[in-house]
Amino acid sequence: MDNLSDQEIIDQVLSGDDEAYGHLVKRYQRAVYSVARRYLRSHLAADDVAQEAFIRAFFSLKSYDSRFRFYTWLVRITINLCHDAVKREGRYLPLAAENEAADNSADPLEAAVQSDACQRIRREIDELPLDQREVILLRADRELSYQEIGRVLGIPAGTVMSRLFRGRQTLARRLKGII
Amino acid sequence: MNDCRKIRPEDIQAYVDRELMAPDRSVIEEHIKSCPGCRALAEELSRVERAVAEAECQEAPEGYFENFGSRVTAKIASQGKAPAGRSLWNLLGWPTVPLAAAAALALAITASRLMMTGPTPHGMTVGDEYVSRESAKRQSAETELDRKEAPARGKKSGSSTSRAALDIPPLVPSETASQPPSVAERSTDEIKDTTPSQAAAKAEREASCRDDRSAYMEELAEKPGPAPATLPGEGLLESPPRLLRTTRAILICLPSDRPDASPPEIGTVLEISLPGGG
Repeated sequence: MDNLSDQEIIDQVLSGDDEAYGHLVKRYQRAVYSVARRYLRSHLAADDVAQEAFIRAFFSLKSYDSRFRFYTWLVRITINLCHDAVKREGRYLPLAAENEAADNSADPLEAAVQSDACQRIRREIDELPLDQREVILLRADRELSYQEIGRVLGIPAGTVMSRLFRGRQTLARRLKGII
Repeated sequence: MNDCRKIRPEDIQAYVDRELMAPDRSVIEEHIKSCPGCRALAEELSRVERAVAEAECQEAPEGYFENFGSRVTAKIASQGKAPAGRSLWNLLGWPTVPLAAAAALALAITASRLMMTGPTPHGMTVGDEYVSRESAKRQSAETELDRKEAPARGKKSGSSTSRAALDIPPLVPSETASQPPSVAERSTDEIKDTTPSQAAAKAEREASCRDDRSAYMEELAEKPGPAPATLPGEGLLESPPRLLRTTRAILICLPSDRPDASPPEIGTVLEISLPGGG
């Protein structure tokens, strides 16, 4: 099953093999969780959204347009759910809600410094205008092209490029000395 | 190429992000080699891109993904639905067509029993015999009416337009047959809204039906064979059922299992006319 393409698995699901959907979930669970986690800044909220994204995708599988990557479609569903979650909360979830593990570095001091730097970067990202923040976050894992980010957000690739550039310029200015 | 005015900063960013294809990529590459300002911009954008990627790489708690898939599939199963384009029955692995056929048959039989309650000594059901007697009675009355009105109608459209000559089954009692719209086309409220003379005629017809029915039931009681129970609505209606309107039943079939079929999510709704409904 691991050798099958997304479309082949989707065809199996649509023809009645529900177990095949589990393979799609396994394939994209980390990526979808990461998108939600970045957007919502909370593990619990990201967990809810990631699960719901896969559930919605399952029930809407017939409407998936196979001309585009399945992952792009999945991220679009995830981002829409993130928007809903933010609307419900009335704000982005605060970074303080995260209990950051200082990763598994052998040097606690280095880990703490690195963690502080990461938190500072994330805080600056969260201070960006929403349109710039979204493209910065969607590009963060380098999984989506400009074109695909545009498809997720419903904007042209050129707009993605200009928003990304403005956001990065702002971050470079604000994070001078850190990066 | 050293002319920075011909190169947008966004293009340098696209180069850093590996979004450019040849020959644009080689054009920017060549320019950056020879332009310190654009090279510095490329390096800065690259640093920001790496820093964001690193800062945003947040791991889930250990073991989180081990049962993620099973939680998702459990929630899907608990919702008891199928992906759009597939039926629930397909999801459950139940055969769709036999189930739909069985449900349709069961509903049709139930609907028929609302009209017909049991066999008579003549081999017909009570409902059949009652319908047959009523129809014959009305047809006789209408033929009589046609015979009387034939000269008048013949002047306008010829005798071939007679309902009896065309063997068109009458929809309404003869008294109202010539008054458009027919009873079958009128609403219940309109039927109630009649003149005193029409009301009197209606009462007379109903009384006649009651008498006929009583006599008929007595006749049946005297004959051997399984006793028919009652006509539908016995004891509930003031007057026996009359075939003034088409009787309809709604048949809800199970959803199709054709993968290309568009939803209905609930099912396909068909309407059927019961026998004798006109």
